[in-house]
Amino acid sequence: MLRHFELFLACRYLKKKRLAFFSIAAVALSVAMLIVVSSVTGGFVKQYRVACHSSYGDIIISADSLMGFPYYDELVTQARKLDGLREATAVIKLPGLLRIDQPGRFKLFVKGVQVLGIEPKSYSQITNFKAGLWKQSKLDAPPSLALPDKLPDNPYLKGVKLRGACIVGVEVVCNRSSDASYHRKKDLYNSPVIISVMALKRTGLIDVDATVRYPFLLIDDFEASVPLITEPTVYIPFALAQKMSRMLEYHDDDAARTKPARASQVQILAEPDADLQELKKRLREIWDKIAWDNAYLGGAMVFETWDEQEGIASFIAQFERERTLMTILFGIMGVVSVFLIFCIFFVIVTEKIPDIGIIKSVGGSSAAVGRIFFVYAGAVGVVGAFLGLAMGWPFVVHINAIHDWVAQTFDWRVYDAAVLLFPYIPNEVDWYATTIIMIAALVGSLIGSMIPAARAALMKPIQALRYE
Amino acid sequence: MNNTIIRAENLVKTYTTGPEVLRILRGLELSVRPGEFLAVTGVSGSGKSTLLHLLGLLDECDSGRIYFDEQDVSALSRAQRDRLRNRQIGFVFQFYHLLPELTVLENTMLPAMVTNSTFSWLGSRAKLRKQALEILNQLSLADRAKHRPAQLSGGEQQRTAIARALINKPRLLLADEPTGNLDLDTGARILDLLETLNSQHNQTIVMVSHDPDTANRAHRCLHLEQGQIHNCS
Ligand SMILES: Nc1ncnc2c1ncn2[C@@H]1O[C@H](COP(=O)(O)OP(=O)(O)OP(=O)(O)O)[C@@H](O)[C@H]1O
Ligand SMILES: [Mg+2]
Repeated sequence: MLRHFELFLACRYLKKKRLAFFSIAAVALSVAMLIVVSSVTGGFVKQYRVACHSSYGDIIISADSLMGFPYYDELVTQARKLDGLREATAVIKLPGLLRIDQPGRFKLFVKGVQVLGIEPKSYSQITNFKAGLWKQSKLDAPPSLALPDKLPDNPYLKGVKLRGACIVGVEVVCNRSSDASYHRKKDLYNSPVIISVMALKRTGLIDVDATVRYPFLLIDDFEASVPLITEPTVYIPFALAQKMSRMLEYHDDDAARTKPARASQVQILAEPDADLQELKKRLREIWDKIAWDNAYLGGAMVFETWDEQEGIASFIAQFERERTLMTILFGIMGVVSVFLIFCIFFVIVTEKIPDIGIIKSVGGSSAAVGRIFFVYAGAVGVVGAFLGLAMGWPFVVHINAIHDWVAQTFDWRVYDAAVLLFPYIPNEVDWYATTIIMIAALVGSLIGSMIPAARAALMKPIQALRYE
Repeated sequence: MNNTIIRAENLVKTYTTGPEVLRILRGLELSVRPGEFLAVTGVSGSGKSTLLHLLGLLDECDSGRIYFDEQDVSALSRAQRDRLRNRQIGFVFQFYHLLPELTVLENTMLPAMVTNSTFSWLGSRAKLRKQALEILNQLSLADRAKHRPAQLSGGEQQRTAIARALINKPRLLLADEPTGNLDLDTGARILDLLETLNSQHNQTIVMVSHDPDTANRAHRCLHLEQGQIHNCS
């Protein structure tokens, strides 16, 4: 049991020793540093995962071919009945070109894009599509790719036979500045653009005589949450994409039968607590049955959870490797911090060895001496850890403001959103890592003080008294 | 035989520093009866402090035995020896050894604090404080109670050390040169105090001093020479 004089002496040492304040400061700074670094780097991985996840939903079923796969509507219908599944939507993906059709106002502007045919309502339930829209994100209604009832008054629309409306990825038409904002050219919106895609023959070869090009009204733009890894994309209505890519139902004269319409992907949103691997298995079963029932022997199908997709998986793996590297670096920093704390306590306790001799000479036990320094180090550890939290937490939360201030005051921008993935530095405290760091600081303080204290406590009183 | 409070039998203590072996105590025999006021003299470096440290259980001898109340202390557990040091023995160091962070009053009360658990401390705190102040008063230190050792003169520190040794009313008081740093007048008052303690409270005292006049105030005088004890001539 802790005796009064042990507590009394520990408190007195804490109050009277400047070294105690230095050791508290050392613990606090180490803790704050580790909290900031682990929260920020951990935040990048988390931010990246969240962003990717919200761009794709949970499970993606795709044909391993530009030709797509049939019976997608049946797959969607049946999938929607599955337990643990919230929504499913078919998507068409095809490579294409986008041309801004405003002669005289913009220089001839053509870009290679990925054309994505979507059903905006269900697509935006599965992904964060709506949140990324410049104009429509502010509306209550689900996003729409319909032409407005009354076309805008725009000279460039004269004589243009619009097929539909499109939404472009913001990176297609704007450049990203270092504060992560986009400078939008207002004249681009509510104007016509031409999207052309290569027409594929049913044999899968390019139909050189018939390139498909449709005029669209550019109504909005979409800012993806992971801009630099998504391809430049243009969103158009699913039906139009299907038509442009010739994935519509058609009658095969040779086989004398009707071939069903096709899609490139079906994207799935699961319930938050659903087991994605299990769900994936069920979806595959559904698909196998549909294929069997329809005697479809087409190309390979790929069933992937969002993070298994090729580009993302390797990217995440890269992030995880970086994180492992970071963890090792932290480990080293942590060890250095603990060693620093150890050194400070070693000095403190060593300086107090004659005191220990006095305490023992008046009958204080070795255990009592140990407890004095245990309380002392525990107090330093606890105060230091919480002080570190008090410094690290607000720093993480306000890290972007702090960074902006540094950037403005010293003209020194470390985090350049123009070239980095995310517009902001992650500013959420990683509480799991923080808890570990704080406990480690406390344990480090205790161990750091216990070793020299135990050494001193086991000395004969006279040895301790004479210690130099 | 059961009339000694502390008894040393064939004490041997050597210090080895490198190739040199210093044989300080060479089979020393000593016994102290309860209520005795004993002085130990000897030239500087003869081993007086070494002997007192062994008697105060602050150090361990190479061979020989020490009996406290006819109980072999080497047979005691650590806790029992700690207890003995705390309750039965008061030690006045030649070099005071006060805790620099504590005031004179707190230094004086330290052994009493060590004795008491948190609970009993809360109960007896006021009483012990009064006792400590009384002792300090006797030692003319009452007005220094709130000072720290660093603010005191050598003599004041020595008196604080004496006060600390007395607070737990130990049966055996071991004093290493208790008047060594005091002027004649103050030294005489300290000796008066020790004499009073001895005569009125039957306090057993073993006092080390190199000064024959001081040693003569004791009832019995022993001389330490060549690691052995002799009667003073
Ligand atoms: N830890 C030690 N290591 C080596 N030698 C020591 C140690 N402690 C004491 N000595 C030696 O032992 C001898 C006796 O020391 P001690 O302190 O007992 O002498 P003393 O009789 O008290 O002298 P003084 O009158 O000067 O206080 C001295 O020569 C001293 O150098
Ligand atoms: Mg001495």
